[in-house]
Amino acid sequence: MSEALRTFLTLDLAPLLAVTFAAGTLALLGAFLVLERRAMIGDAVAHSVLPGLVIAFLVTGTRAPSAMLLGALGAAVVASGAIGTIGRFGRLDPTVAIGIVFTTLFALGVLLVETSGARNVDLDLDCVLSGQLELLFWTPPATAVDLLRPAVLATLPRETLLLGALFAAVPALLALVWRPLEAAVFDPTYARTRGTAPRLLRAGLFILQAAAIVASFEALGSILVIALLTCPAAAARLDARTLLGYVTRSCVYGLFAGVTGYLLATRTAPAVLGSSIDASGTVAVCAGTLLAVRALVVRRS
Amino acid sequence: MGELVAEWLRALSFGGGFNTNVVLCAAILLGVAAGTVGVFSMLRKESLVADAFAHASLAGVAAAFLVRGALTAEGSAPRSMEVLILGAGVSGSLAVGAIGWLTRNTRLTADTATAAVSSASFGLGICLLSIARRAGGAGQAGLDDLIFGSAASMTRADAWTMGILAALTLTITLVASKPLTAIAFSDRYARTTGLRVPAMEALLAALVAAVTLAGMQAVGMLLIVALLVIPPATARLWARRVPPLLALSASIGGLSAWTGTSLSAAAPNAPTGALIVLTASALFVVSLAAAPERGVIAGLLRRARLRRDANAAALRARDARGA
Repeated sequence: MSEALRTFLTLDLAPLLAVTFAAGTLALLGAFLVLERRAMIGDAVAHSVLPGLVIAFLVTGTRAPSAMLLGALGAAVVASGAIGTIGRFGRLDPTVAIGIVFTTLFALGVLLVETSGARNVDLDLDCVLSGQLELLFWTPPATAVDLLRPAVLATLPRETLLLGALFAAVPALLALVWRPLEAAVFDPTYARTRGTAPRLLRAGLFILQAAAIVASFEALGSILVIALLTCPAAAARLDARTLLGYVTRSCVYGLFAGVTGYLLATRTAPAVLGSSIDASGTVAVCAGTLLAVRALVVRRS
Repeated sequence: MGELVAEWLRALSFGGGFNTNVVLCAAILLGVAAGTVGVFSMLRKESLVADAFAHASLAGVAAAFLVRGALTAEGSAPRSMEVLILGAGVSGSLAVGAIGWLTRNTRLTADTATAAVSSASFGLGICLLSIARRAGGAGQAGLDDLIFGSAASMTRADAWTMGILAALTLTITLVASKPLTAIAFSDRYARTTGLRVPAMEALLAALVAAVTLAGMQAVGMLLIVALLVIPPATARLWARRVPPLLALSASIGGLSAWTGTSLSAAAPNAPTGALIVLTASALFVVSLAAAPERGVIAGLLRRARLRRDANAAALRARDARGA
């Protein structure tokens, strides 16, 4: 195995795969958020994950993935419940309700991180914003043939494996309930008359979305999660005609932004600027640029 | 704990040092200004525009820092904070413009455009910030303070800048409150009264931008939007007409800033912005529970009463049939 390949496998493979898997999953699920005009809810949920993580850490004293996942999911449910309550009883505009909930929960998270012991165990505010992709590395096997052995691949970092599992499971789950889901998204009344349960389906979709946000949050940070939930889907939404075409396109755009952004930040930037730049930020910029280019093209034609 | 409370009460009653008091006064002015301007952006359902503006301003701040770093090497050093604020204003306005363009010219809705533009431009900010960090230099540490806010790191000059900007914004908002109210409720009505609606819209955007920029250092760009959203929403739960709404919202904004800033003077480790926001949130939660018409308790009671009345009516109807 050549030295360059070995370096790539050690330093870049795990984060590159993590970004790619997360980008694909988030773009796929974000497509439904954008379609249902709930993009800002995704934004709010992504912000509210922070206090959930810190509280789960303070209660359990560990950073075990199950505790983190539960805490963050709890926070996501609290956030969407609070948005609903404020809208229903306070009769305030949804944008106001969202603005109140996400700033409050984010402020709570920031306060807890800064004042509790959580700060010492690498839950600091920098990694909240842009994740800790740099910390994902891997000890590759001695020979290239070993790369294909499942036992060897299973030694990849936990975050990468988790995001990979999600990227495999989410499309499969969506395919399984595709027709009822299509009906539930476009015409809930019709869906109910056909005997499917649109509310149950949408609740399931919300849980998937929250799980994907939570799983991606630790590795990628909050900005990238929000950018990947909205930008690829918005770019795909510009000229999509069918739900399948829209969702597929969003997923492809997400994958493209993930791979391009990561390589730009870690390969091109050192060559041009002399040092690498923040990978999460670069992927977000790529997703945004994609949206900008598509918007200009679609408008002209 | 007792010490902390004593320390807080001292700061709260302006018993801290001179610097602390200057920062405290400026923060209160900021809270009052944000509470006032926020009412109009809430009524226009544009609350989250400020959020996009603030997120996007990181890119401008980092870019301004890099440009200034390149210029000072040649000997011309403009004053730091003003250049950063200028950069923030430019990039924030570009982002708000981009959101407007996307909403008008494509099929994307305003919320999608807002979420997409603010996250992508914040990503750009993080990229530029990572370059600025590598470039190093003395002022680079101050950039991080702008993200999460830190009143402790504010110099007296910074506090004066914040206070003057907030006072100016507040004055202009109050002078223009009549036309701002008109465009908040109906563009069409405002036009029939001979008002130049686009000019007033631009004024409101500029006022929101001014508050955001003024508060960036104390509250932080990720949380400053809370000062524009939470006090007006809290006031809206109690008030029905615009003048009391403005007065209440301004008071709540000022009170939150006062409490939060003095708390952070007592506990320097705790981030100022988060404390201000959480004070405002606490007031909102109490109001949401207790407000007479829009409160949760009142709502539940009303619902129970309706159910009881409906049951009673159903019973009467049955008795009437039975008789």
